[in-house]
Amino acid sequence: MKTLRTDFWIGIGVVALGSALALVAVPEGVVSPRNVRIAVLSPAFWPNILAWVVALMGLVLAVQSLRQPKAPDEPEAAAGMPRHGLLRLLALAVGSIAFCAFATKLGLVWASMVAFAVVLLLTGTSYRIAAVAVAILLPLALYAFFAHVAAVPIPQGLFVRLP
Amino acid sequence: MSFLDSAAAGFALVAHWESVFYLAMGVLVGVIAGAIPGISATMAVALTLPFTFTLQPIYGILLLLGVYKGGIFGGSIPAILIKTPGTPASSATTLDGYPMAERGEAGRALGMALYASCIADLISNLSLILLAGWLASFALSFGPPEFFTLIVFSLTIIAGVSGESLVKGLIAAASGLLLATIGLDLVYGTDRFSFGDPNLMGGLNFIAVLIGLFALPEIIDFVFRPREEHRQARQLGGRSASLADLRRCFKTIIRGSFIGVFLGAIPGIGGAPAAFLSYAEAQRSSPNRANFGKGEVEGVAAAEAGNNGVCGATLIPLLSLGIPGDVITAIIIGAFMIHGLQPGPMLFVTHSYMIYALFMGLILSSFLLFAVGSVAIRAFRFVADVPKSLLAPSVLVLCIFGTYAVNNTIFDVAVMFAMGWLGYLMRVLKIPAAPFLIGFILGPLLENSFRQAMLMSGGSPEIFVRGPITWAFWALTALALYFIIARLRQSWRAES
Repeated sequence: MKTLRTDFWIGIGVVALGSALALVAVPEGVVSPRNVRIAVLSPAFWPNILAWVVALMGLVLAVQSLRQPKAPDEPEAAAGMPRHGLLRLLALAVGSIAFCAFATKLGLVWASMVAFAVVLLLTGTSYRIAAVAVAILLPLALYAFFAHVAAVPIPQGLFVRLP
Repeated sequence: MSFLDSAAAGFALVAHWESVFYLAMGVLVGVIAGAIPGISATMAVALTLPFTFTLQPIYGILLLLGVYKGGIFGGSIPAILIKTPGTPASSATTLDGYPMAERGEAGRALGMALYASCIADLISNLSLILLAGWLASFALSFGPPEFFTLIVFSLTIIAGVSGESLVKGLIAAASGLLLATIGLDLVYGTDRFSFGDPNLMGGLNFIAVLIGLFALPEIIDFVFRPREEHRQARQLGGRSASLADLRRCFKTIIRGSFIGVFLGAIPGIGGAPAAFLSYAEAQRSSPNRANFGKGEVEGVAAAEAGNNGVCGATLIPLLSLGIPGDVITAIIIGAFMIHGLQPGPMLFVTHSYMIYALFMGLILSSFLLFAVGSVAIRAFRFVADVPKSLLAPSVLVLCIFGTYAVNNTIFDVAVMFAMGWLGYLMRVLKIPAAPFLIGFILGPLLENSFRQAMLMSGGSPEIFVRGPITWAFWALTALALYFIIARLRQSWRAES
């Protein structure tokens, strides 16, 4: 993909995002009292200004990219998409959502071990024994520090409880 | 409290074995993290931050400062041994460090890197001690309009951390400022983008945002493109840096240190430009200039003096004005806030003993860096080759526990993941993350000082030009903008 096209579309996307924030998110998401006498003191003033700045900068980026000469192919893009790269990203995204949904039920230590294993499965390793050892010992060591030294109540989960 | 009382109270605070222990631990962690390519000093400070929550403020902040200093020096170990800078600030060190390692003089290069780092660090710390108090006493007369203009000026640091595209840096900074508006409005107490969710009413947690932006994108990128890089670390060789080497490079080290101090005190410049400028100056004035780039020990000294000279100096704007000098000090501002301290001129009044304790700890850190670094050179050369397939999931687990520990809520972990994906998207689109974080940190300060000033003036903008200080900051902002625009025009001309 050419850098020119990428930056142009990023600019357009940012304009759309900034406009959506200013026109929809700020009016819907910011509650302004009716008795605000000075407009610049309104809770919506600052978010509004910033949303428009985002949109304006997007426009500048898009226009700037049109004025620049076409760039050669990026080396990374030229190297091609890694095999199953997007699938791995999708699996990681699903995994991170699942982690947030089940971590407290499973227990943070066990969920972290699973997260470690999932990343290992996705990326592969030639250090299998070391990987298994780190996957088990690291969450346990962190649990020991946070629960027993820092007195942070780490969620234990519904199944296996740690001392 | 008089100067002597404050100094004595500061000494009493720092003269505990715990202070020395946490400082040494920080330096050690920093050196290890800096020595591992893929863990930057920024990431190391971010990941250490949650471990400071239960510590006394002085121990926690000393731990983080130790990580910062150790991380910057640690970056030179892989730069010299495997030609891969552990941190961006060590890039200039590879120019002569690796050729020396190829010649079998890695031990000499690392020794010189250590000498230069410790001397530059000490000079930088002394500069901080001399300048911060003076600057803070001046800043005590600041009101909201002065702070607003100061923060507007400090936002020009975004130009320094924007990388290739200033416009993308501005998009990131504006988005960070916007993200900081989430939560209850401070003046009217109304909802802003929190949609009635109690988790959002206090705003997004700083640690979750920071860890998500700086640590997770590395992991996501590794999952997308797994690659195990093996580079054979060079042997240290029989020769180490001698006193004769140190004598020969001493002038270069001192000059590099002051270059680092000068550039470090200006918000937004950071270690890498200081290292390259120091290197270029050394090359220009050295009788051995022909050897630069081919394994000249003076080149290593210049680069390391430049990047370590920045460390103490970046704390000058942080401690005296409450504005970050770079991304790492932006994280350290967060650490101060978590421990109930607001960096800035008032800290010199309300917690002067803490400032003196920090100064003493910083001086001590230069010596600890020397002690830890001497061992690290021999022991940690294998650390530089930690397999990334083990490092990535380990960092993920550290991120999860660290973020959870802030508020004991899984919501923060979800914010961290969301920020991680946002950071990865920004990385793919080549939008820099550092301006986003700086915007997120400075956002509330900027908005609050603006609104307080407007409340004071009844809505009249004239308050922002009410005296010489505001004028001075507007002038500095204009000057910074002039240089930014000049640089942009230069790069456009070069492109066309």
